[in-house]
Amino acid sequence: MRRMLCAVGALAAVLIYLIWWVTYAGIHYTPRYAVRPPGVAGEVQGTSVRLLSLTRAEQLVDTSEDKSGKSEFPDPGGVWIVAELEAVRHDPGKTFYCDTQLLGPQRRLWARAATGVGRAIPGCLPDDFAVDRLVRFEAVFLVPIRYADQLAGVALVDDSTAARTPVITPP
Amino acid sequence: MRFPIRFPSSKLAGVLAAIALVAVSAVGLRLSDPKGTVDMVSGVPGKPVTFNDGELSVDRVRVGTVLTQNDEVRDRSAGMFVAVAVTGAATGPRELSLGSAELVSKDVHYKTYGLTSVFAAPGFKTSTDIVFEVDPSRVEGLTLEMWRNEVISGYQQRVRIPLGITAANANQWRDAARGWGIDISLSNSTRPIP
Repeated sequence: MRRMLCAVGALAAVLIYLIWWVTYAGIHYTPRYAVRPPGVAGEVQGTSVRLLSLTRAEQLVDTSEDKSGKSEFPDPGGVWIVAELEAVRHDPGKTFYCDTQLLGPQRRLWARAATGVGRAIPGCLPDDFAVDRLVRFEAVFLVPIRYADQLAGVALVDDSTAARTPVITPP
Repeated sequence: MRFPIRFPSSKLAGVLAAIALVAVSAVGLRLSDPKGTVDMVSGVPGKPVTFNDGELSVDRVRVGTVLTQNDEVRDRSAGMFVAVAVTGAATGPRELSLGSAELVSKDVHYKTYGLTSVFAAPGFKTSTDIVFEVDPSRVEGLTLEMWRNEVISGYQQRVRIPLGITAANANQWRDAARGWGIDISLSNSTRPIP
C-alpha cells in the first residue's frame, strides 16, 4: 500500500511539473515589455543603454568622413527611423550583443536594417564595449510609414532571459 | 481458483508507475506532433490566402530543366525544376516566417531545392522563388504547402495552394520545361505593404 502511494505521488509530481511547465511556457510565449520613462537607461546583459534620439528620415545620407555623397531612400511606403544610443558595459562577465529592435503598436517589432550608407556614428559592435567605457552608436530601422508615428521605443532584446524586455524612449 | 502469478506489491507499484510515465510521455509526444493538429488553409493561384500570420499568394509558376543565376548555369536536372514565385505579407502584428515548404500531390512529396524561407517583418511583404526538382511523370495536381517551423506546436496552420497543373494540361507543362532555363537571379525582394 505504501509503495502504491509512492507511485501515485511520483505520478502526481510529474503531472504538477507538466502543468507548471505548460503554464510557464504559456505566460512567456508572448514577449513582455517594460517601457522606461523618457531618457532613462535600460539594463541588458550587464550594460546600461540610453536612447538619445529617435528621428524619422525620408532619406539616409552618407555622413561618414569620406562623404561619398551617396544616400539611400526607403522603399515606397517605408521610412527610415534612426536611433542614436549610448551604452556603458559595467559587468565584465557579460557581453552586450547589440540586439536592439524597434517596438511599434501591438508589439510589432522591427530588426535593424542593413544599409549601404556610411554614417558618422558607427553601428553597434559587441567588441567595442570595454568595461566602463561610454560608447555611442546608431541603429537604423526601416518601418512602414503608417506605423512611424506609433513607435513605443527601442527594445533591448535578450532571448536568454524570461525577464521583461526593457524598452527605452528618447528624452 | 487463484491467479498463478502474484506480483509483490513493490513490483506492482513499479509496473504501474512505468505504465503511467509511458502514458504521460505518449500524451506529450502526441501534443508536440504537428501532424495531428494541422489546420489546412487552402487557396488558388494568384489570390492571397489569409492565415494566422498574414497572407501568402502564388504569383507565378515557371518550369525548366536548367537553373541559371547571373547568366551562369547553376544546375541541370534530369527531371524538371519547378520555380514557384510566392509573396508573403505580414499583415498582422507578428512577423511572417514560413520556414518549411513542400510540393505535394496524391502520392509524392517533394522537398525544396536548397534552403528557402519566406520572411517578412510586420507591415512588409516579401517575394521569392521557391524551387523544387520534380519527376516530370508525376506532376499532376502538384500543390504548394508552406508552414512555420516550430519545435513544439499546439496549433499549426499550413497553407495549401495548387499550382494549376492538372491531368489535362500536364503534358503542356512537361513540354514547356524541356530544355528551358529558369533565371533565379532576382528571386528575393522585400517592401512595405502599401
